[in-house]
Amino acid sequence: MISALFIFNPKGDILMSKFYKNDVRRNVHEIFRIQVINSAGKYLAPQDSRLPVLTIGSTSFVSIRSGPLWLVAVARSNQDCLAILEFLYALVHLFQKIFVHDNSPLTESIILGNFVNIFEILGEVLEFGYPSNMEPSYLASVIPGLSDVKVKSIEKKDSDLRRKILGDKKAHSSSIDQAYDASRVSWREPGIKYRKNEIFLNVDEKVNVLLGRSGELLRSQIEGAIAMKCHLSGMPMCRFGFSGEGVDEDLRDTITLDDFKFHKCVDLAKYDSDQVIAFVPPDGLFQLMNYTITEAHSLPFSIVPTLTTGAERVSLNLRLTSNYSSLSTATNAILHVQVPPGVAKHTIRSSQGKAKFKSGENAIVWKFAKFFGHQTHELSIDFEIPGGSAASFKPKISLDFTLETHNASGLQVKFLKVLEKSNYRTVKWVKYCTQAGSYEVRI
Amino acid sequence: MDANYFGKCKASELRAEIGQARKKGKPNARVKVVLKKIISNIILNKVELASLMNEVVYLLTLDDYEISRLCSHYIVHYAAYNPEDALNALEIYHRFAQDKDPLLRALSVKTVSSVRQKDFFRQGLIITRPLLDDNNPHVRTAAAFAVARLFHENQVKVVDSGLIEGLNDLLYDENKNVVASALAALDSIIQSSPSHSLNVNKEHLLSLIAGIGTTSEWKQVSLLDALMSYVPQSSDDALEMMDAVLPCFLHENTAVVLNSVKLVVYLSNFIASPESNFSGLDKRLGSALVSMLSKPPEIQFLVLRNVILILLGRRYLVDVDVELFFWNLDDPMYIKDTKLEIIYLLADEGNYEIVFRELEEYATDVDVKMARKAIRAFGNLSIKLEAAADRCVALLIDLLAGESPRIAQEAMIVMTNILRKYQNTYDDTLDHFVIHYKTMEDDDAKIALSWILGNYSESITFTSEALKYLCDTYEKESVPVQLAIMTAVVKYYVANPLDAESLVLQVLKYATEESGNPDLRERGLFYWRMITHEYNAEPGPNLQKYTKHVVMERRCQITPDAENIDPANLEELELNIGTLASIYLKSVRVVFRFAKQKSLPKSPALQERRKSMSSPKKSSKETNRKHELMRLDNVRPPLYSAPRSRSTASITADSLADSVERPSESLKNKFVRRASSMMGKKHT
Repeated sequence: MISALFIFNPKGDILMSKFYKNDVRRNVHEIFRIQVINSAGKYLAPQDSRLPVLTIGSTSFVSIRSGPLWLVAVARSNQDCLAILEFLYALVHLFQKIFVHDNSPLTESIILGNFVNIFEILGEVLEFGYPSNMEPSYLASVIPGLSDVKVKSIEKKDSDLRRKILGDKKAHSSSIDQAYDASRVSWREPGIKYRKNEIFLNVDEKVNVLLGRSGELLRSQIEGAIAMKCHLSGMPMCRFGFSGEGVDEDLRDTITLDDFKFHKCVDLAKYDSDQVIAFVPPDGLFQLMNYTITEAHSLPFSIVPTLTTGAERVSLNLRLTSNYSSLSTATNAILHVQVPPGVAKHTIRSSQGKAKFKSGENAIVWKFAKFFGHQTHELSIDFEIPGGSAASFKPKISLDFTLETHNASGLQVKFLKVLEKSNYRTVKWVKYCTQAGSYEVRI
Repeated sequence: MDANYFGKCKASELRAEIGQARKKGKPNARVKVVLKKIISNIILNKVELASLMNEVVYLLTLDDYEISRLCSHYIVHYAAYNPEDALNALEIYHRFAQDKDPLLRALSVKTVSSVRQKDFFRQGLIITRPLLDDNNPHVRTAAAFAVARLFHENQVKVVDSGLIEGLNDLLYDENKNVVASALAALDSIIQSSPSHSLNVNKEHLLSLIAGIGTTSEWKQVSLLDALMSYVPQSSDDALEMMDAVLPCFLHENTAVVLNSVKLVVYLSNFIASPESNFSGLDKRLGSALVSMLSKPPEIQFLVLRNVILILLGRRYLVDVDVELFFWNLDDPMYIKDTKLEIIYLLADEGNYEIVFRELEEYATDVDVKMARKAIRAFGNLSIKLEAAADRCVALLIDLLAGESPRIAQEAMIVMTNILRKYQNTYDDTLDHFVIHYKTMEDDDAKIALSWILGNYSESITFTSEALKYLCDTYEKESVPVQLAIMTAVVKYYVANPLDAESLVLQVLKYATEESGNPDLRERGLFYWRMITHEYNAEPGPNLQKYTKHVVMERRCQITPDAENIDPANLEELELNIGTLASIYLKSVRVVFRFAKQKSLPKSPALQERRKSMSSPKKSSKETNRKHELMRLDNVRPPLYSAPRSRSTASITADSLADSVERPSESLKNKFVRRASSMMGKKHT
């Protein structure tokens, strides 16, 4: 499927190369460097106008970016392009997980600082160009250098130590057997132990809203994600639901069934037949599921703009109302009014919060450290527009906020059960949070 | 940190370092450092290091798995540059293949099969066969891929050695991961060989799907892909399979989702009415596709291209809301382009109000390039939906009055298409368009203006001013514009001989006497002879009767053509959902000359293809023409092509049709252009 894989820095220097098939030349990367990376800099082409795939003859270059770096897969003939793209993204996540420990993008120094391990990983995650096994535990069992970087659990540390002291070769083969054991789940090591069994569940929602010129709702969408952090011993089986056990009507009312996407640990067949979300969680942090809701829901904030135009003067009045309960409080509520360059502000008045004109960004920024529920605040701005093009004056208005302990969709976690052989008690934490995605007014 | 070891090295330095390390009692740590430097030179492809072969082969014998791995990378990379010294490694790998450590056995078979040397190949045949039956699944997996590598090297010998049968046996392996690896290995063999095809029975496949949840996501991809070679013998077979695959729609990995979509589309070839067998199938398929739009833009792009493909071929299988394909502010251009195409396909009488409101916003986008594309989409929609045409014309008039000349020009071009479709419906609005004649600067816009002036000279109040304005700079125009103006002037002359006489004389005089362009002169002479012919000299209302007959032929009809794609082509593309060809929406062989062609297999259950869109029936002749348009290897004729045997009037109209391209075509043409300009630099 994939014939070769490269990682470039922004200048087009090679940081990593790995060949899987003999059907491309060793200098095939030069074509990509010249055609894409270097030409991008030269003509200052906007990054987004370039397609992610370049086909020349029978050879295709499929590329993604992570931070400043380019990850490029080379394929011959007609291959599964989506699998290649998905693989490249999975590779970035894998590197982040092993070498970065958070979600910040890859950098040149991360690649070079671990180049031997990365080269080895690339040799394992693709077999003859086909994605094979990307589980860190499998990789650590076949690549000796990797176990120094990533120590997955207490057990692992133990066995590594023993291996080092005794030069015990069997440690290798037993873990490689585990990686292939079909009765085991590949994403969880056996024998994990915690003194205190805890599970954290975060329901994070991003609200994308588009409002019309009189504040009416044009489009709204919620992107939700349920993230979990598991500190659980043994091999727990978790069941999770938005409503009472077995009855699932609530769920189907709020969200259409198929708008879910589940982490690979969720048994999809079981969900399909019984509508039960059951899974053996991986250890640590992972995203259990994500969902989108496009049906109507109540907006956390409504924004009503009023625009009055004179000959060379425009006055804009904005009314910002919070619709959530007065028990919740939004933090860092910031409203941006972006104006075309050349437009000068005349006066700004606000009923509360700090409003300032930032000439660097050509925007008026209206800030609230805290915005309480069920409140309304107003902002009035007078602009002077040179050249009399007041009629076509179109400011871009967008809102940003974080709202803890509130979720826009109204989705409630009803139960979360953890079953394990040793039948321990689990402490469960559930947290809701809503944030603004693109929260905009179109004038 | 390893970064200190990254960089090009000289072979002599490394040789010295290996020598020093070997003097120590415990050389392993130092050897590893040298090997790290060697790895960095593999990455940077420094050929000179091939001379270190003997030293590296010696290091293989150190009893350390990590060192053996690193050495193997070296041997795979450099054996081609130093084949003789590399032979010494064969014996060691032969020993590794029988070692009791499975990791060494796997390493041995992987390395030996990866080296492209005859002796390694021969050795590969020998050691791979027993390892296919190894008791360790990791080794069996490695052996499975070794067969694929060896097959690439020499198909005949691998077939003779019986390795393919061994690989086939792995399909029934007790370990699912091994089965999936064997499927992937077989897939690569099938792709490169015309005589091999996958043959697995239904019960086995169903048992594989049943356990799909426990295999890794990538194994699921190979499994789903392998299921494409299953031929259902009855509708029930297909239904059973479809039922088993549907849960995969919820997977997080988009490759799994799209591969299961591909499978469902394939299986629906064998079911008379899949949507009535699975209630809500269209909704599920729709939201499976839409939910992938929250992924990164590159993935979105691929998904969107495939949404187009599925909409073209299987409209009845997907239920999606057009609003989900509206632009997001931060969408990259290539996503916006593709979304426009989808919006066009999804627009119908029921939703055009919403679609138009949205497109109106795009048309006033700050980015003029995107605004122009939106305006084109408008024009195309009003051709597709008669109900939308009035609204579109009103909007175009608004846009023309706006400040941006580029947008005004685009509006003019789009209007010509609407006129071709709706003939004389909008005669009384034409003044609003032509009044902006001074802002037309681009060739395409001027051609559009000329065409409107020529064909509707009587409905427009200031035809003569506009034409005079165009003729003032006649000498400076490009040839296509000159041709268009000439035709327009002649049409005007036919309609209104008195006003136009001086213009006709000016234009024809320049064309026949001063211009150096043969096309222009040729056409000028043609008009000249026609106008001055004695049959046309009859005074009174019959003046220029025959010229009128020739020149004022009614414009050629235009029909929406994006929805017509060659069914055979579509059928092939549906078997390739998610592949590179789905980006280009072309026959696979057109893009990739050496790709294996896929076609629907014969089966008693195979259903006749249903019509996807509810478009009005067209005569077969017309449809054929549209197929020509959709064929992507077709190069658009130059705008000023030499007059063909048909009448002059239709030449103008034809060239107009060429100048008014739809967004979809512009994108595709970009690909074609890109691909063809690269052909010269092709490498093998």
